[in-house]
Amino acid sequence: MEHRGTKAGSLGGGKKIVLAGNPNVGKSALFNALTGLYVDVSNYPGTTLDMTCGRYNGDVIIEAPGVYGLSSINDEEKVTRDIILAADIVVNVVNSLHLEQDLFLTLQIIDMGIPVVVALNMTDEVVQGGFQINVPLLERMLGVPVVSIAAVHGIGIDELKKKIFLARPGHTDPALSEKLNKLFSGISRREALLVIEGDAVISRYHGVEPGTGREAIYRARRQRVNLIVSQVVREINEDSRFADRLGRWMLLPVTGFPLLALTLWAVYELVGVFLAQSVIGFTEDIMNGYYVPAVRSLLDGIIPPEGVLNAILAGQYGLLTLIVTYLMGLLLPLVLGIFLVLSVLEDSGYMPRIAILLDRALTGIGLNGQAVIPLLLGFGCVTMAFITTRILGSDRERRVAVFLLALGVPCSAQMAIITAVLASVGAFYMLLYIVFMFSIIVCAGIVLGRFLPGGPSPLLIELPPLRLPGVRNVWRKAWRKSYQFIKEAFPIFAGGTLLLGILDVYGILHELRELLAPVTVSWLHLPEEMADIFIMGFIRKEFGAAAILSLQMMPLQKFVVMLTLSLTVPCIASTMVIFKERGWREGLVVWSVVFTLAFVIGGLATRLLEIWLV
Amino acid sequence: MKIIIGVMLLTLDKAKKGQLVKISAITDELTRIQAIRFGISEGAVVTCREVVPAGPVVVSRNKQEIAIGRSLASAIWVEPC
Repeated sequence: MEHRGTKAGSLGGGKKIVLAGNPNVGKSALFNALTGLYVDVSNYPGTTLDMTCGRYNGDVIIEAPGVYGLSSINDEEKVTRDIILAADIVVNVVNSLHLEQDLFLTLQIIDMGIPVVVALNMTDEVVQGGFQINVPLLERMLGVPVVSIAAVHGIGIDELKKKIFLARPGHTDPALSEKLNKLFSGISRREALLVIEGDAVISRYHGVEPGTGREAIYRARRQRVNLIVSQVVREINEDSRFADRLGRWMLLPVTGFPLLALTLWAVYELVGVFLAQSVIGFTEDIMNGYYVPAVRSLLDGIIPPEGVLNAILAGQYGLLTLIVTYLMGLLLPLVLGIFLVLSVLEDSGYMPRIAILLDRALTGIGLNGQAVIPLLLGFGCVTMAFITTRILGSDRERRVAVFLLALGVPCSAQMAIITAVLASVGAFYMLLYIVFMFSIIVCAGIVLGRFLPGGPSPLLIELPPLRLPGVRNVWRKAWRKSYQFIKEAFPIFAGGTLLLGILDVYGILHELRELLAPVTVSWLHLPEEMADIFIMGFIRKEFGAAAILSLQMMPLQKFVVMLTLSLTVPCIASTMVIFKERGWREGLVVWSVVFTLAFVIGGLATRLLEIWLV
Repeated sequence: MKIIIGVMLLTLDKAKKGQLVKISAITDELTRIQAIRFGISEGAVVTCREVVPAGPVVVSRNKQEIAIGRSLASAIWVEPC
């Protein structure tokens, strides 16, 4: 059933306290502060796409996805609407820096007659922003308790805890109340409001006609918000901060593209040079110089070196050797590095600015600037990025973004291996790889943009202030994501290796190799053993690529393997998410098209480069 | 550009950086509903902060900034003030 109010209502005893507010106002930070759990905190709208629940003393705290209003414009609004309909208390989180926008939702919830307490967040930035908020007056005008907090820094949380249970219904629009009481006696007030605002789902549920007065009600509410803001906000000064100027430079092509190039160069220096070469060199030396020999000599003492078990545990694809070396020595430092970079981009507010800068360019490939967010996150983890495509405005854009992510965006683990492998064959191949991947994404985007019906939906996003990211939040987020990533990769990786080890020991691998020889040997001009890598890559792409380090091959061959593997769908987890997000039919189409394209392009690149280079 | 009772109207994408404009009409209904929530309703006065060449227009009201894609900006009629 679409109407999920009852579902949120069956969470067990206690009151249901709902954290609601606009996107990017700090609901997640407050949720963390109240429950002691950790959910992602970023500086771009839409981090929370589903509801998150936690216990708070005897009660339940539910964090609703961020929305600008309640109706059925998109999925988040539907989810949030149903959570709020079932709420006992709403803690409305409001960003002090733009009351004008946020109070619209506040008044809508108040008009529903639900007990509310307003948490005025980011009060620490108000003074920097050059204005003051008269909190007691705001409290009087809204008719509900208002508490100043700074959730990320834990300020005001204790006071909020005291005031949560003082929540009460606020001052509603008298004209609106009268209309509500007159029209619907049988429907609860909260649902009645949504009915007269024209919500089709709620109206159908009660078997009444949806109202047509939405625009008039919105307009009246907007005027009330403007009145309140004009009374409670007082400007102190209007001087422009350095961050404001930098924020401007990021938007304009003349300065924005150089700044973006500079950022990407810094990222390359950190991840591609410092981590992929210096740090990895060090950790691999430790693993190969001390850890692997130690494990081998220890095992040889316990089980016979020629036995099957020994081969599985410490052979070429050894569970204790290859896996541990690869995960700890290679993957962890790089994945952590990439997630650190992404966390900084998220928290600083640079991400939406890149979206604006690239809006024009992305329109050319059938997307709008907002698509930059999932595409960039894909470099961290493609599986997570698939889920983030939900923030895009239309189904058409989600389709394009999912396809491009599946085809052309390598995740952090793959990038780790690609950087390591290509760094060993020289900068030329690295450049070639970037040129190839970039052209493929652009071509695929242009083709999709042209042939899918409809056009890109226009950009309409809020621009958060540019701020210096907090070291603690950046580190916590990057560490948590890397840990999850490795934790998730480990069993799949171990299982795959075990399977491969067993296949190898019993000679089945050899038969599979021969079966795949037409593709590997004839089409891609690679050694027969490369079939292993494609089989492993089917399980986890970077996992296949890891084995390549141990095979002797020509630089061109290494390049072709990297290219082909990068183009296929990253891992089993991401394949599952494609199916989940896009449905079985479309998922199957995306998946097989991507796979076919990967091998076709791989073979074509081989021929092209053989003519050019040899 | 069109002239209504002596008032000059232009679309938002034609506005100049730093210009103060009053929103007079938003032609698309869904956009109108979304824009009201962002604080941009018909009658609102906003500052045009930035016009990215061939790209989005950034407008601000008080401390809050919103980026509006070019195609959308061309559907929003404003009156310079």
